[in-house]
Amino acid sequence: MSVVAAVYTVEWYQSGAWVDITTSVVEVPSVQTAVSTDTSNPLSFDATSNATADVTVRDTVTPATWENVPIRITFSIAGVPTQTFTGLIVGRTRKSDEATIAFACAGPKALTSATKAYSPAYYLRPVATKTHATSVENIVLTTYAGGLINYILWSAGGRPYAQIGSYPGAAFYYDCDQAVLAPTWSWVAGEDGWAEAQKLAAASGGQLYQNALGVVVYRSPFNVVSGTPTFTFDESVYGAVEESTKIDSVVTKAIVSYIPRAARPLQQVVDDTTPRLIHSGETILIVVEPQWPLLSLENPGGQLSTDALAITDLAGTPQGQGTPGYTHTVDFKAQRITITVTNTAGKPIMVWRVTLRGEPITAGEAGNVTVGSGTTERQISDNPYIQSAGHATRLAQLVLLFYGTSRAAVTLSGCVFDPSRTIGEVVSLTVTRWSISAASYLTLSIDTSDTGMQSSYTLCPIANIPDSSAFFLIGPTYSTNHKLGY
Amino acid sequence: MGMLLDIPRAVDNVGMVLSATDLNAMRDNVALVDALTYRTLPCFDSSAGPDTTTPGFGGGTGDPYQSLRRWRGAFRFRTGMTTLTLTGRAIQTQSEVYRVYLNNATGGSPDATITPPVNPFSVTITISGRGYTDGQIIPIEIDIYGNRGTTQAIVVFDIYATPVVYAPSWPGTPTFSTAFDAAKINQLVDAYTWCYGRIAQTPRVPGLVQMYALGPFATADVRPMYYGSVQRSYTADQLLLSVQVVNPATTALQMLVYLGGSLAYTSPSWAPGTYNVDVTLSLSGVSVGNRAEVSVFLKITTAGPVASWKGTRLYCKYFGTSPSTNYPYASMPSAAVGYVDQSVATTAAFLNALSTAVANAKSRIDSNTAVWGRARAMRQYYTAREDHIDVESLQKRAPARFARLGDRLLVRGKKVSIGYGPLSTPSASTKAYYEDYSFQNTGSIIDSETSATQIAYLDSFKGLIPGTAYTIMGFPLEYAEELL
Repeated sequence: MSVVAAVYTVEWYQSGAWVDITTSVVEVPSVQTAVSTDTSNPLSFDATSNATADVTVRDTVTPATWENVPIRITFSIAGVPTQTFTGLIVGRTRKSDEATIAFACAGPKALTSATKAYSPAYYLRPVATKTHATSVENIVLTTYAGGLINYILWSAGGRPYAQIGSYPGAAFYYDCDQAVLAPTWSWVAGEDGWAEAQKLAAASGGQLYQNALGVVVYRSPFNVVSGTPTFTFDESVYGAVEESTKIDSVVTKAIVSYIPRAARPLQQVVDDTTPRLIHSGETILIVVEPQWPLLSLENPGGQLSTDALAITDLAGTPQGQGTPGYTHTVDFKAQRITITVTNTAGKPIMVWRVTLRGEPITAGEAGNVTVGSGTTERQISDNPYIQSAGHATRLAQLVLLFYGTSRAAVTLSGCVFDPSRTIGEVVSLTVTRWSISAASYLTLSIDTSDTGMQSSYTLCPIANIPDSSAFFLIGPTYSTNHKLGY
Repeated sequence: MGMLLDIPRAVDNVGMVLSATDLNAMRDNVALVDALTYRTLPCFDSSAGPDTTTPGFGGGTGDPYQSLRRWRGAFRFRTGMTTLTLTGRAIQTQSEVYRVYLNNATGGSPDATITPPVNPFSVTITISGRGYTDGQIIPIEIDIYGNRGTTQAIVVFDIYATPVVYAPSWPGTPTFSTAFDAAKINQLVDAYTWCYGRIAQTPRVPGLVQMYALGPFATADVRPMYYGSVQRSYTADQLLLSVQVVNPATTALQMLVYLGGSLAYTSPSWAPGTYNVDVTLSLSGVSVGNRAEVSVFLKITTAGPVASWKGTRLYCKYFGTSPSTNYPYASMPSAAVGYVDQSVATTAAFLNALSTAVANAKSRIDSNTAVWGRARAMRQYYTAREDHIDVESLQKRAPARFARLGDRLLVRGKKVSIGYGPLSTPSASTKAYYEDYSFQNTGSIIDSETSATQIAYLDSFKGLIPGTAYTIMGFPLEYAEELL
């Protein structure tokens, strides 16, 4: 094994530019990026991805604010610099006796989790849509036709990596494939944004993770494996290899449950009797969250119907829309209605009642779909975005495709950190003792410690997983046989 | 849309995989649209038994100013409709005329007058420019006025509004060869969705059933049970009369069916008992697109020594068309299979087969104006007057009936409900309480005692899957239409 030299560069984003603080860095104790941290089910659709780093600096370099400051780490091994981590500072530990500050850094996952996004209800919209140089990603545009994952990531401050030139100062970037599955209805209503995005990824058989550039990636199941290996892990690269698997790892039967949802006729969906006083000339905000998500709200011309708001002056005289009386605006999302009411009556008025009508999207009776046979079954976790037997069937077929073959993860330890390796990369693995020779594996996670001096890699075999080139796609011209998707 | 299986819109060159599930959904949708272009129609109901002012039993012979009802129903006005057409036949016994009123304007000048004898008559009324709004249910009333004799008769063959206007433009159908691009796939989806929307634009209204129509009593007698008409919409159409006959005690009972005024069917002589009979009659004598009068009678040929109160009964489950052989449905390609290699030609052939079937379905709609160009009216329950002493019994006697095809039911009326599943009738040792029948499954749609219009989602009624028959009851039911 050759001797290599490892150096690093640490930068953070201050005042609109990346600032090199390497000279103030004491150490980079660890960096971890992972498509999946679940080695027992390494390619499971609901796998938990991860991207974290720890950076210790001298306490003389504290910025004005440290919260959510972008930070990136570049390792140079044997003179080859490669960006290894990009994320945000999410925690700080100060020690006066050591005169240091330890920053805990995380990928955009932290930012996305904290984002409470509200969206319209989308019908049969793929959970993620392909990002490219001209894809419409701005969620406030009426031409927006993106998936809910795109919506969540944009809401969290992310911008499409393919349009980085238009968004140089974005909080982070994202890169999405077109999802192969589309829920009947999808929406977000103020939940943990990352958790919802992961549920959406799981419902579509995809993977959601952050790569070394800090780009949040959504991969469709047929793009999880793409390209041919350009690097080989063999005994000259790793010190030891460990594989652990169980008897039930090869699945022969997949079970997926679903809860159908359907839009219902126009009916009363909000009845709020909270009294709200509005002083003369003032404006108040009324936020109501209906029990069911709404396909539509009855507000012809952008205005609520005249009987939606029961408003009187303090003597009980009804007040009408307009001047004098009140004016209002409405912002409508699937499960959040924001009404702004302005008093134009010239005297105090009271909102006594808010009654709204709309078309709710209600849930039906749960069902189950089973694909395959045999005794080794896998029950997919309940997921609110699986809403039809057809969707559940296609997902179950994907489960069998992915887990009808052993996917035992292997961990390679005792490696010199190679910053050119990235998670999601297809590599070759040779383990002479196990008679594995140049087999294709997917890089699931990379752990580095001791400021790049040590690293380990977790890989997963990918035999029989097709990439999208095996299928008929919408758009291209074909002359040879291909497959239809499920 | 409606009963179609929706799929996501296709997008070019973003890695969207051509999915077997989506292709099969398209296939199912095309098969559905193709099947829906063959619409069986219930008979157009004119009148029923002697107590419903049926021909020969019109009443009011002593009072020329008694304007007894001959027909009442309603149609649903849609934007673009211009004309209401009424056809039928009427005989004149003295100086009577028949007056037609729209939108409850009785008492004023009639919108049309039919002066018999006319066989057949065809009357048109302009309905545009009258302030009707899109979707408004417009009542139609036909009464008799003037001196009349006992043999007075009018049979209404058909009432319909025209034209049926469907605003979206036809997108055309694509041809596939070596590329499966979004424009063509979406065009195919739009094409079958257009057909579905166009089919839905022509209202599907129910026929009335008669739950316990009174037949002849003990003495030898012939009683009319039904007058109406049947339309031969397709070459394969035949007339189907699905009935249950109850003969409590008479020695011999028969059912007679007249088609176009000629005796077309005479049943066997039925001894006391209950008989479920499906009578099918050829419509070969009726040109496609035309109608023929249908009348049904029960006849006691041998009374026997029985008490006069043991009247015979007729339960009309369905009067209307059915295919004598299967309609010439399009052949669908075999179901697509995912994750199996297949050729470009096979894939293109699959899609082209769907495209051809949709194009043919569109042509079928365009060419059959008797079915798709007319928005038919629906008859209300049979009665001569609103204040008839047995009005509630008459309403229960003649509810409307559908076999579910769509996903929503539009109704207008008071206290409207539906019933489906097993039907039961309470009985005592000497009497069957026919009017107290009940269904195992019921659902209320309009609770109000004032007339209202409501749309119900049929999926919300448990067990009412497509194909299931259901009965619509109201006090009264003024109009019903199943929406696809």
